[in-house]
Amino acid sequence: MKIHNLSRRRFLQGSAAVGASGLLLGCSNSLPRKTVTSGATAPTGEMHEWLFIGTDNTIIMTNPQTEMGQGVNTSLPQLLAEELDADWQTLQVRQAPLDSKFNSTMMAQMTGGSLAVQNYYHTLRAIGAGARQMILKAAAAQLGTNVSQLSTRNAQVIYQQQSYPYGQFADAAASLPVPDMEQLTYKKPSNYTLIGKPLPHRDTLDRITGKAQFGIDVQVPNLLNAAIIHAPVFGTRPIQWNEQAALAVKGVKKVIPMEHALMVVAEKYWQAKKAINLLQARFSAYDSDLPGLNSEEIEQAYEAALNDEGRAKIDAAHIIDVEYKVPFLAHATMEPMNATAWVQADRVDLWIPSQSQTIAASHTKAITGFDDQQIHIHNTLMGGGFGRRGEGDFVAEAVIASMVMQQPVKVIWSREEDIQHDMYRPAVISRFQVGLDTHFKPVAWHNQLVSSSVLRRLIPTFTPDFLDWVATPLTYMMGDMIVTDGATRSAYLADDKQPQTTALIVDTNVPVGPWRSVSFSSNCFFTESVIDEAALLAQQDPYQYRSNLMQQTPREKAVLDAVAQYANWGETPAGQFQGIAVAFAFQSYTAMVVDIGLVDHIITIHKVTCAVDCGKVINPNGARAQLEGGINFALSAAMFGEITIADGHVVQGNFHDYPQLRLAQSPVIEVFLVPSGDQPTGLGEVGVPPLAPALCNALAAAGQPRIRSLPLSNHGYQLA
Amino acid sequence: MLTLNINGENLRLEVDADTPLLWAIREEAGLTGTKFGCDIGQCGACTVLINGNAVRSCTITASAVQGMAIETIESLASDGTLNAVQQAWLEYDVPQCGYCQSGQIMAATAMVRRAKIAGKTIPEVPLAQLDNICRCGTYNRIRPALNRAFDLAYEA
Repeated sequence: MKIHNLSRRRFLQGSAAVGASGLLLGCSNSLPRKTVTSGATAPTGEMHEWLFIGTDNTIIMTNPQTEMGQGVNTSLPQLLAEELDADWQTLQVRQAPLDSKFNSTMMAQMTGGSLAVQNYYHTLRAIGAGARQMILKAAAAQLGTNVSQLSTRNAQVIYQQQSYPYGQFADAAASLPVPDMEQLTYKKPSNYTLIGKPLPHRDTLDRITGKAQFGIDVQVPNLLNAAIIHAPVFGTRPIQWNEQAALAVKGVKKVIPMEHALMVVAEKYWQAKKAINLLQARFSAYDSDLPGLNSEEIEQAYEAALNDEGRAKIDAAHIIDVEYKVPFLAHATMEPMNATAWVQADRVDLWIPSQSQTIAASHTKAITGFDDQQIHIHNTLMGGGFGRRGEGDFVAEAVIASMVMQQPVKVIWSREEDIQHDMYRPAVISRFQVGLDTHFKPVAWHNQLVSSSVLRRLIPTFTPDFLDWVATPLTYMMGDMIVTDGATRSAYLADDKQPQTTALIVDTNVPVGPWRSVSFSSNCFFTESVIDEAALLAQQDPYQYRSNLMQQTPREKAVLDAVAQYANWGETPAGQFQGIAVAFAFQSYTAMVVDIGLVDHIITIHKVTCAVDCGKVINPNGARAQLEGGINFALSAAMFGEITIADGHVVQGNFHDYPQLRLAQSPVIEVFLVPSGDQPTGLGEVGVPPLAPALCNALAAAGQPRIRSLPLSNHGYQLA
Repeated sequence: MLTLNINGENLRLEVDADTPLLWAIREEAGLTGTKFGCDIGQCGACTVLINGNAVRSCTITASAVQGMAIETIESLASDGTLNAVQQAWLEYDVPQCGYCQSGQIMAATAMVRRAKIAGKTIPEVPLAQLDNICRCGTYNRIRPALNRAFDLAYEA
């Protein structure tokens, strides 16, 4: 990685800029995917540099990742502020505009994959350390001393008990050569005041006083508001509607027919919403060649694929031959999809709660023909993301609306639209044929899983158009490595053996996409249930059975052993039962024990114990929050989460028929962080995968029939 | 046109008689702390207080609450001092995305005030009364924060 001083160029260019100057430095990563800059010219609006230090000591950091509740507005600034010795209380954080220099390892500005801290751990610390080093050098010259005589604290240079704000040296620092990466000195971890500390989220005060600005709260002058209904059956078109009835509603400006939707634009959202209900729209009939008319048809298509594939030939002392399945799931973020766009002759402004500036821009470019420099993205806080807000569909609609109206337009989806026009966690059927030797040790592991392809749906949004025609056919040859995530390795097989996993792709008319923890959400349920079946068949303790088999995976074994110890495994009072599960996902290891009581089919969850090894922990408070949240998110899905299809459309439409966990149902959760090494690994999604299998394994421990499909409500179970 | 008393102020608002209170608050009074979540009274993101009672403002028309005292999240902190529930939420760092938290805090505020008037402590108040949905799953912090809010309210 190399650091460049961009200040001079910016100073020359910025002669008309009002206000402070200051330090502007940047560095280019040795990885070609990223160019890092930081700078200082009192930026208003978009900040394309990573760091600004004003002469008035204003310090602003651009956050390359977007905040959706996962805490990146806190954890990522901790990295930079630690090495810079910034003042945590006055440090300002802005969300990145559209600019490929902020790209993640997904080759896009994309917040997902539990990658935020992993991706920017080195970059943000380097920027902080580099800036501090330049400030120190400038300060030494001005104060007539050596850098070795100086120290720093809270954005102040300390010299002979005197404090001098960084801003005082920002201009001088800007004229200095930038240190090489190799010359950067980093703090000793024992001197950390931010990294590793359980800091509260930076946005909490705004979030408890109603001041936090989400996408739905955006206000711009002359803003129009729109409601939308999509063709209920995926891919069909509006063919008839009562435009006059809608236009008769006060405030309504226009009915915009779109390819697969109808939009009503009005002065106020409520006017548009009222009018859209009067459209009495009719839509074209289901005309897809793909299965998707109803859930049964999809399941039959899945089963047909399994039958075509045939069973594995397996020879072992004991054989487990079972089939598991999970349903489609919607994201149901608390803030329904929405976007605000203003398309003008030479620019478009987007105010969007988005996980991906790149994808929002690619949709915008396709509609407007504008280039990146003309697209100005103002990312707002998000009322949840969970993968849904990495899509661009909701952005495209606002762009079209603004082009038609030649005014800024905010489009807000109803909850029904949000649930019925999602990109769903795929339904999956997974067949296992597992061979055990005479000691009940797994010696063969055949797994054939049927899913629609998440990868194939994502390709057009991630690859340039000219590559689509290559990329999509490639998936037919190479398969979809996304849907097998979590199914291709096993800690329970001897090291000369691998799971024989085959993904059978059956695309349906139901669009699919990443849903918090993606395929780990289904594959971990399957594999950790199957290994539990093996343990019970062996009449062995499910924890001991797992632990004994884990000879090659010390970190996985460590979290498993830790969770068993913390949960007092095997020491339950009468009437309580425990289930255990472990996952390796997003480079982290997560193990859970669920303690339940059971009366008839009413489940009382006494406790969920969770042990996580996510490498180095940057913020234990945020880490715990993510695990608690992931567990509750997974519990909703395990208990009641199911999207079904009838007559080509999604049956569920709101929280009455797509229920979510509530406070009284939420279990006590104990999280234990088991850090290892000095590199952070994934965290935001790792709380999800082990919950469902640990819960179902607890039911098996209670003597209940093995649960091989979710949700549990379909088996008559309820939460107390 | 109708007049609503929101956060102690009488506001003349240009809303139709059938406009839900939620949208009158958000679009006419310009108070966006009250959130839209489901429009059918299921999730509680739009919870406000009407004459001290927690009400899901998507399910009631603006015209039905004329002359009543409407409180939104923006009114809870006075002179920069958080109310007991907000203070407890701050101490436990409850929010993740925060979208549901205005509604959670309004509903909890009604619970705490009512219990205080009735002289009840939290063990006597069923937690299920706070049944707003949080998709981030912040319940494990809401629970102790709610306890703390009761304590703070009694101390006050």
